[in-house]
Amino acid sequence: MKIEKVLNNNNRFIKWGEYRMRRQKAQLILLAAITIAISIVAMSLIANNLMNVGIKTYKKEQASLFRRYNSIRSIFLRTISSAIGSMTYVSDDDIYRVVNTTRDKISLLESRYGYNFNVEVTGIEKNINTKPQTLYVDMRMSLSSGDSYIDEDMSYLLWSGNY
Amino acid sequence: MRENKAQLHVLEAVVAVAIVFLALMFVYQQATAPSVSSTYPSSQLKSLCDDALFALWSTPTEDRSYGNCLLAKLVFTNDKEGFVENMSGLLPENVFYNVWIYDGVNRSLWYPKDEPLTPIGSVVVAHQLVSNSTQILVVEMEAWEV
Repeated sequence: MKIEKVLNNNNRFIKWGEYRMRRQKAQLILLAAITIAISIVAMSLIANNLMNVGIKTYKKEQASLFRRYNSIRSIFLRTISSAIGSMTYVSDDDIYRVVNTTRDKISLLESRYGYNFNVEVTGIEKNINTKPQTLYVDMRMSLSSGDSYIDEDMSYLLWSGNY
Repeated sequence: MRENKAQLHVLEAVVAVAIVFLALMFVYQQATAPSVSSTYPSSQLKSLCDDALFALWSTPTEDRSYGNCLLAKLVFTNDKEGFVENMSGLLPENVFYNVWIYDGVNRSLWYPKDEPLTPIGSVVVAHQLVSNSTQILVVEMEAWEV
């Protein structure tokens, strides 16, 4: 009887010990899960904030560059139109010369402020059999500053009329 | 047993630190009041001056001359009073400026007439291209605030 009692007590202790072990393991797993969840939330919050700052800065720079591009483009086109419009006969060489001279001038002025302006003539279209006759110049225009960049392919009507 | 307990304590400490950190971050974000100031950071002042020059550049002239660009008309007709009058509506009173004209070779003072004002503190530079039928120039505004 006495032996049985001792054995029973021993069994109860062993079960109690196993129960505590299991409980601690469960708590460990739960805490680990909570730690991982909190880390993920914190990291996503920080990443989101950083990304928002980056996007805002990029958008502001891009908007500023776009506005400057529009004003430079307008002045460039007006200048070449005015120069070509004053000529009685226009050869391809004249077009290249006017475009390159105007580009170099604007490029020089803008480079002082950290902007790179470039224009390349990619083609010249003379339609002499149409009414009115037209002269188009195809160009690739670009402006960059720092990491921001804008470029555009355009076909610009340089002259139209009848001889 | 002891090993488990130690791991539990380490994890508890990590969680506690993370919770405190997140709480502090949240409180800081909520508690920072918007600062009200009459002075601008230099990047903001530069944007303000760029905007002012661009606004003048995109304002049409009454007679559609100078490519319908008010800034070009003011510069090429040397209308300094008109420039100042228009700028006073675009810039705050505590912003002062010199205006230079740069043609790619020379940079000459345009406003004020005789001598440039002496800048105080940090100076920002805003610029805008202007053109007439023969010339392309840069209007360069050196601005600062007091």
